[in-house]
Amino acid sequence: MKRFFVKFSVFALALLLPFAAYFAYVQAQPASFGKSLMGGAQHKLEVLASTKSPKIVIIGGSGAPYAVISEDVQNALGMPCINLGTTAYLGLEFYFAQLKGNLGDGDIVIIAPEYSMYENGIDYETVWMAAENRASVIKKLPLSYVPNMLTSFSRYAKSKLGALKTDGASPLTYDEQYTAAGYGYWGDITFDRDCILESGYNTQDTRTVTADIVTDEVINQLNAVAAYAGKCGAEVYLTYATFDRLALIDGIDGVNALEARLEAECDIKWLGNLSDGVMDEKYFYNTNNHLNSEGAKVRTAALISDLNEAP
Amino acid sequence: MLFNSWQYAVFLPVVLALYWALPQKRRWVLLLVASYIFYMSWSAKLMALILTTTATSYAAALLISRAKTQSRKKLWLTLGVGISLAMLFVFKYLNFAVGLCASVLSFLHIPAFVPSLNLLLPVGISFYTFQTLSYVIDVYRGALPAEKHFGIYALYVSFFPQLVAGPIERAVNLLPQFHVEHKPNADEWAHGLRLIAWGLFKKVAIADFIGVYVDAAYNDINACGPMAYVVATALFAVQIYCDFSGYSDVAIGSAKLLGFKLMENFNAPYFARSIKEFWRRWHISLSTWFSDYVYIPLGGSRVSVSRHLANLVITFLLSGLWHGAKLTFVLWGLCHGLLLCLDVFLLPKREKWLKNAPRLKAFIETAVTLVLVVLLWIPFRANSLSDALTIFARLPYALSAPVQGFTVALETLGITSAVLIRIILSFAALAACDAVRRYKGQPFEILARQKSPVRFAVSYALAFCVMLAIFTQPAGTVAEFIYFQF
Repeated sequence: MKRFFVKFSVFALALLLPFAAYFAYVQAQPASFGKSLMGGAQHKLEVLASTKSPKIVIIGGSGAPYAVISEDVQNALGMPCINLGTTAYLGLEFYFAQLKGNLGDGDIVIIAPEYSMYENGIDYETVWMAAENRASVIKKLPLSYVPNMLTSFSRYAKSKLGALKTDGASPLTYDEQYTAAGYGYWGDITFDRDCILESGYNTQDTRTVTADIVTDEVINQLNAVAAYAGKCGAEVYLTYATFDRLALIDGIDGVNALEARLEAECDIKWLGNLSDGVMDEKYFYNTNNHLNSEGAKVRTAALISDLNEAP
Repeated sequence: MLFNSWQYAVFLPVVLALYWALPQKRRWVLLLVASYIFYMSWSAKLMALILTTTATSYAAALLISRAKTQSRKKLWLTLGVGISLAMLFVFKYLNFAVGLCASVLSFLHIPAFVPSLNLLLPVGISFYTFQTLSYVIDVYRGALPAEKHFGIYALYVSFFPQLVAGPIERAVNLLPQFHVEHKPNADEWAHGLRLIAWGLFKKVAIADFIGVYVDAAYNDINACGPMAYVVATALFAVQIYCDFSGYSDVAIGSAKLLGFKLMENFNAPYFARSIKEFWRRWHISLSTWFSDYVYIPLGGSRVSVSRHLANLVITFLLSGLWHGAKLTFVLWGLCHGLLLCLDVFLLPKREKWLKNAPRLKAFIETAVTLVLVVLLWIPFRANSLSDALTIFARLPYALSAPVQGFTVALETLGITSAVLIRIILSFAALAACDAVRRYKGQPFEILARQKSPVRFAVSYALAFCVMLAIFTQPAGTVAEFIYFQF
């Protein structure tokens, strides 16, 4: 038996060796997504780690930095406001995991999940990009991410090695604002922007909202982060992410049903109502989630008002 | 918890470590708990169903064994079998039956209220129900004594390696194995690990990989030309074989690591020389089940020709229905039954054909059988009966410009040169392995007799391919096994 286990161990090691070597080789290469949108996520996590309590932390998808003007919140409430939202593809649990060790007494965490984040839709290659070469981020990743992170490593490695050949990754999408440089220091989008949507919304990205879109995993994650924040002396609020009313199919009833389910199953205080996030098309910039400058002012004012009235 | 999931990669070693650390008399408890955890990973609610089936079949068998008269035995047999079949019918076939009635009534313009039932199909119900049925019938026939130990019997029904997709084990084979002490055996463990690796290779590296191209054609019936359906159907033939036999190999391999021997479920089926032989090589545990508990009790072949033919058709219609409550499966079963009927008439003539050229004869018979089997996968895979009939109607057009059509088909399905090379290489590995199995014997038993460097090299290449396939598959897309739906 001993011989079998020795042989098996040698076999397993020999099998893992090429994969481990490839992993080490890719990880040893210099970071190449620093200038891209995911570089923005890396910067935001650094700001989170270096900002003392009390502070406000906003978690959401890519719409969050378009929706909240950090400086306005800071001026109104007297504490720095870090907008962690970069893309919904990172998943809520990614952001929650990065809060660990970075929350203190008096902190306020505002969670504004986009609808896809309730569905727990995660792109693990994007997670690799956000966490690249940063042991502090990687070691905080939730255990549930590990299997899919491993299986998506080859695609990330291909992107990384390809990007290195061109001196770092180019912006991920068509518009130059989707780069690390597009964010201000506190993680929000600071440049002036008007609506550029021809039909008032992105016709390719409409959606139906029902109470069923939220997964049990996400509900558990929300309750877990609220419990963790409570232990740290921080307060957690759930609020709405903005969405273009024209892109919402089947009306507002589904949104209200979703809020009812969240209120019933999540032990978290609310700021505003989920239906408040369904806003007029004139407030949107280039997608059904991203607000223009005017929309950001409206949303930020509502958030400040909600925070002032919060229990 | 799928065999190709990370959860199983953790679950199995933990169970193995505990199993071999425990004394024999405690092992069944561990295996039963592990099996129920395994099953509950799909749905805890469904446990009630498997527990009910277990309890009723256990009680029925005990009552049969204690009954003094034949009529009493028959009564308990009828009750035991009836309850199990009733549960299977309600959860698997009731919706289908209600829908069928509604269609008939609608066709006859008879207004009727048809209730819509939202019943969840419990995973593995067809497999464990058939296992309990065979047990109760075997006890009635006196083939084995009734199991008195409820825990051991519950383990027989729920033994996790074969719980959700077989092999459908006979109590005669499996139950006694729970009573004997298994000793650690390094050779058996090595064999088990190689079987698991081979099963995962077939599932992850072949079935899941080509499944994408099959879906591209079958999920949008108007998306492709006739040749694309020829390609997609050929690919599906390999996909379903790799998917299901891959599952069986992991099941048999996992059981081997625990010291158990499960029955073989596949034996190079695409090398069969007739449809009859195909069914002796494909899903063997189900084929023999239908043979032992349906075909032979109906009279088998020892009756008049017309009755024999009817027995074949009935058996294969039921086999089609076993696969799923859909008309496509009924058609699939019916076609196989009819081909077997045809074979009854052709067999005497076939024996005389090409007597002096046995190799050519074998080649032609194998090729014809393969083509027929592959064609019959069309109704099995099609999303509806009308889809299946549409594809059948289009197939002749594929012959009009086969070469050009093939190129267009590859393009339509998104099969690039690199993908094609990977498909060809994996098919070659599969065909080589099955050819060895068909003509020489169990490949892994042959491998076990080779020198250490050969064993190491083959095992390493296999495990490396599996790892590579796992690490390059799309994240979050651990594909279910096709037979889970049955």
